[in-house]
Amino acid sequence: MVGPRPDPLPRPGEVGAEGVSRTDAALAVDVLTASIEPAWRQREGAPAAGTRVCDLEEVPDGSAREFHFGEGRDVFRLLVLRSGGKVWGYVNVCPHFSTPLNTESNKFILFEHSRIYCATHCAVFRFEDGYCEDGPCAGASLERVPLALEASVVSIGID
Amino acid sequence: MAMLEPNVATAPAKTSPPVKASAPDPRTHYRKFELGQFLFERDEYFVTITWPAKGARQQHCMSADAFLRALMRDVAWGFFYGWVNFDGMFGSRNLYGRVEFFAGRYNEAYHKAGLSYVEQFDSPIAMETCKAMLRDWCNAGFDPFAAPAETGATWAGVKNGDNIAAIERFRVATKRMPGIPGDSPLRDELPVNRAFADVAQDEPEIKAEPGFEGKLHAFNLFKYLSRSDVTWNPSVTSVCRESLFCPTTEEYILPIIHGNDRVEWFIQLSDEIDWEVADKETGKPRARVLMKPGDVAAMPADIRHQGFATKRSMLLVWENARMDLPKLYESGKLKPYPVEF
Repeated sequence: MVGPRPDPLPRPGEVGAEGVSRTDAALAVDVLTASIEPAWRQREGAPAAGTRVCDLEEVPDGSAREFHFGEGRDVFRLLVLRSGGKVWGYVNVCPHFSTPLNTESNKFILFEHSRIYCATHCAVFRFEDGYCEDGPCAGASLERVPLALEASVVSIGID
Repeated sequence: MAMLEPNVATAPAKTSPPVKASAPDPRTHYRKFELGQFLFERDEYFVTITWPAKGARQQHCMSADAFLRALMRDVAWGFFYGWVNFDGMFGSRNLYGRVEFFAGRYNEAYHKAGLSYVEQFDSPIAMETCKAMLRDWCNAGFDPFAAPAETGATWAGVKNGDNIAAIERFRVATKRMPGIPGDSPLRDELPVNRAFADVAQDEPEIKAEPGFEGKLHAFNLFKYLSRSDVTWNPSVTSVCRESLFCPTTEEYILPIIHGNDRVEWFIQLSDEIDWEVADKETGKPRARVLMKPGDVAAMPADIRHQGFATKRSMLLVWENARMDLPKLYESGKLKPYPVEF
């Protein structure tokens, strides 16, 4: 398992790293076989429970950060959202077009510490459950990744 | 110009940016809406857009049904890819996180005369303003997704109720392909459109080799499209990394003139669409393409296009969802067309 690789904060003019969800034939097979494992765990590079993600302070209050696990096109993109002392984790893949919610590295569209917008086509997701309450995929949800917060350290939790 | 105050009466019951809207007009009962320096107003027949240029308020008028059909696509597509020209004067450009509204900017004569105007907004407030206009300006019975023969002239006249169900209809999201367990449904519950009564409705039979049982999937795309209840509104039917198949059914006129920020591939699956293709920047005509069943076209990244279909037809739009494409085309690192002859 490759350890967490925090995506660096963007520099002016920098374009975000490529690579999105593993929406290849293997994923289709996974879906068809209906494994009991949560979908996010079946993705390439999915971090194991207990894997350290970051210090809480790396995700300022009301913001979002992305952390990469693995390398290349099949990198696992973990989205971490924070409001106050709470953090939530999701796979950074919009259910509308299966693209990341950001188009530039760590540049996310946020609203009132409680909503995150997909930059591509404006789907609106709630922090607390990843539910899309408005936009082209309203009613769908981001794939939740359980997080644990202990002693100001964020790590992968248990489903 | 008098400034409008945020008006919660036009906003949905959720957390969202405040929209600037007026009280209902005492005669037409429609509200006015403000987005930056743009002011939007509708009456019985027309939507009037005004903006500042050359020390005065410039104005542009569109038929209300044309404006609402275009606005519906802009909202449903989340500002889509690149430019959504409502007509030859007004439109939006998706900057992915921000959105630019323009008036006359891509109309060569207006732009050269100094009468054009462009203003950028955060996408959330722009989107909420567009949705609020749709909620207030679509009368009962008017479905901006429907073909004119299906929805009639209910858009005209003073305010007469609303049609929230049509403009906020549920749109399915597909993770991989419709019909896969856990993915989007196959539209079995929707009726076959009147134009596709002759389309076979049986699903393919899958005979897998040993070891592949339950691991293959296929569905009847023609049947799926024959049950589409909207026009000019692509939906995803397969996702393979950044490669997206977005087929759609088309009747009457594409309500917007789409300015590409990437190459789009069109594959005509049934009937015909007549495409007008023009320069993205100036609007000068570049080509006319009549696509018949089986025809394939790559719409370049530097054009705008609008389609016309007398009979409802099936079109497969093949999109490349790579996030860095607009910058690659703008910088010249990629040519605007995929093939050099």
